[in-house]
Amino acid sequence: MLFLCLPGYLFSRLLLGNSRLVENLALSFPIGIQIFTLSVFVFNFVFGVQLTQVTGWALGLSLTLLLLLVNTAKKSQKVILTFKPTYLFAAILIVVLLLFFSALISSHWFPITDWDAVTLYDFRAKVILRTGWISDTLFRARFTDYPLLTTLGHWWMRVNGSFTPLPIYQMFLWSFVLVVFSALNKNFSKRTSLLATLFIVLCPKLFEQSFVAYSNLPYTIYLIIGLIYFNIWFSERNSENLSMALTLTLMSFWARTFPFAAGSILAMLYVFKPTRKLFYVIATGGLIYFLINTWPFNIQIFWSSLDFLKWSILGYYFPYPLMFVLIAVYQFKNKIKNNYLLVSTTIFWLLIILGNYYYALSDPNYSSIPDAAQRTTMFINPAIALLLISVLHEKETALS
Amino acid sequence: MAYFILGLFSLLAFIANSIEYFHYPNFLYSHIRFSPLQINALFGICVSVIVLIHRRSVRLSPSGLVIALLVVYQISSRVPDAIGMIIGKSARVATRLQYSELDKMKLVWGESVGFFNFLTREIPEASSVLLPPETLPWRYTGSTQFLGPWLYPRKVRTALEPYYRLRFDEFDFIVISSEEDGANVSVWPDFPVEAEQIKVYGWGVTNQTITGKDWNPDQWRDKKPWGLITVKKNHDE
Repeated sequence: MLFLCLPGYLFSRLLLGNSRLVENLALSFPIGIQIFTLSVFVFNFVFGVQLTQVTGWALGLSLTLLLLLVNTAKKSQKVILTFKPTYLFAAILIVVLLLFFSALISSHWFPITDWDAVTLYDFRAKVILRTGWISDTLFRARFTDYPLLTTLGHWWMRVNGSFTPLPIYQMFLWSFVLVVFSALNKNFSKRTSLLATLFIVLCPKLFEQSFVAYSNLPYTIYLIIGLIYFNIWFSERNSENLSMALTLTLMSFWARTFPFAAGSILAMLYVFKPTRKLFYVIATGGLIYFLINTWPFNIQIFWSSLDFLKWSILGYYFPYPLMFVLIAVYQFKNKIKNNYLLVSTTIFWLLIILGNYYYALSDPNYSSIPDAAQRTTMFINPAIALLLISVLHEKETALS
Repeated sequence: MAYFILGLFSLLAFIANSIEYFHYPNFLYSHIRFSPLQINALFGICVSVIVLIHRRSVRLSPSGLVIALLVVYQISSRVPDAIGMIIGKSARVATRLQYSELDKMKLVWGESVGFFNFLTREIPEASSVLLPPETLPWRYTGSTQFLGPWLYPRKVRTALEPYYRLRFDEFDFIVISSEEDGANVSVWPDFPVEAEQIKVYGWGVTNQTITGKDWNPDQWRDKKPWGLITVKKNHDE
């Protein structure tokens, strides 16, 4: 599993440059597992290379070598460390490391037991482990419905003799902690960054999902990190951040094919003035496509789907929706310059409402699984938390 | 006084959460289960009140104050849960290091794991298996989604589809189940079957093998059996 950090680090270094050491290290696992599993998929499904431990390692090492060669061709920059260690910071770091290692070690003990993981994600990994072919899993689910990121991650763990693939999810969570902290530390003091990181990471469902082998946590993490980099790009207008934001946001599609990543990109097209017309074209096209697919409009189902959202999402995630409303009102009143996070979170809410209605039309029992709806939309809380933090930052900058 | 109450609640919250996660594999089979959410909420409220009292150094508008308090509450009420999860789970691992994969699975799925493994042992890989209908009370034994991964690569079908129910003799094996999840106990299969062999799972005691006797559900209804029928094939056809 740790080997995957190597190609991930090199890929991140390629996009962000080698001066941002901490961010590159933090992103190494989410990016590494992504590019590795995508390569495994292409080589197996397209080029017909059977998946074994040997071919897996050969592929991983070739990928690393290739990235190393591309990296050496790039001009080297001076490493910038944005924070200087103090005693308090060292103490906090020790506590965080202790928590990380105990979570990582204990996750090695737990078997896969959650329903969707046993019946789908891990099952597909076991089928691939047995036959060596991704096509043999198609009888269970199409990978366009349930992409193979976590399944191939499970396969990689199991083919290397691991009893359980759960540590993958701990790596995702703690990488996320480090990415959020290093990104926030660009604009905030260490203390504020730590508190803000704690606020984001402790959003409902996020932490508990690190002990569950579902694809919701990786999906949320790619989406939220993408959002962070889009937001940094709007402040700094640095092409490195834009390419990283787009890469991570698109990577979320390899975890789950939900439409929310499109929401992040649409928000970017809207907020960035030169591409606003393109936003209108795409949004209108999307709306027409939605209307064609859901016509005739069923007010009764729409109303009951809103009622479902009220108790399963708004009620369950309270007070985050309230925070969103308060921040939105504040941002409108104070005309804050960078409104990317507000626009993207608003688009997310719209997509949640429309997506839920679309799902309600196709499945009459949609309201019987509120837990699935909560997992699917759990990214909305860190998005709201980020919005709040960015408003605080804007206010702080305006005051100074 | 405020700090004393805060200290008390923090201690209570961290201990309660750790115990919760120590004893909580899942809600079906855990022996001790209590939700410390209320303690976490009280802890969060305590921290928020203390922040509210000591906020003089920071000037905030009323809406800003509401948001700040909500953030403080959110963070402080979730810290005991997150840390308790790590401590509780680590403690569970530390006290059960010698557990086998079967023991760990039993923590979640209960003794049924023994039955699933019995099926895996008894059914050859190239066989086809008929499961009970995919409806209550056969939540697990009737689910191709659930039992399929256990029995893979064996071909698994559920008898919910009438076709398979009528043509049960096309299968090599039929699973016997007395699962009673959310409905009255109902022995499966509920129809007579010409059997080559009937293996009754013993739940920790010796399994019983019956040969030369067909399956008649009326004779088994009171015994709540679990096991496997090897379907007799008419080789002359």
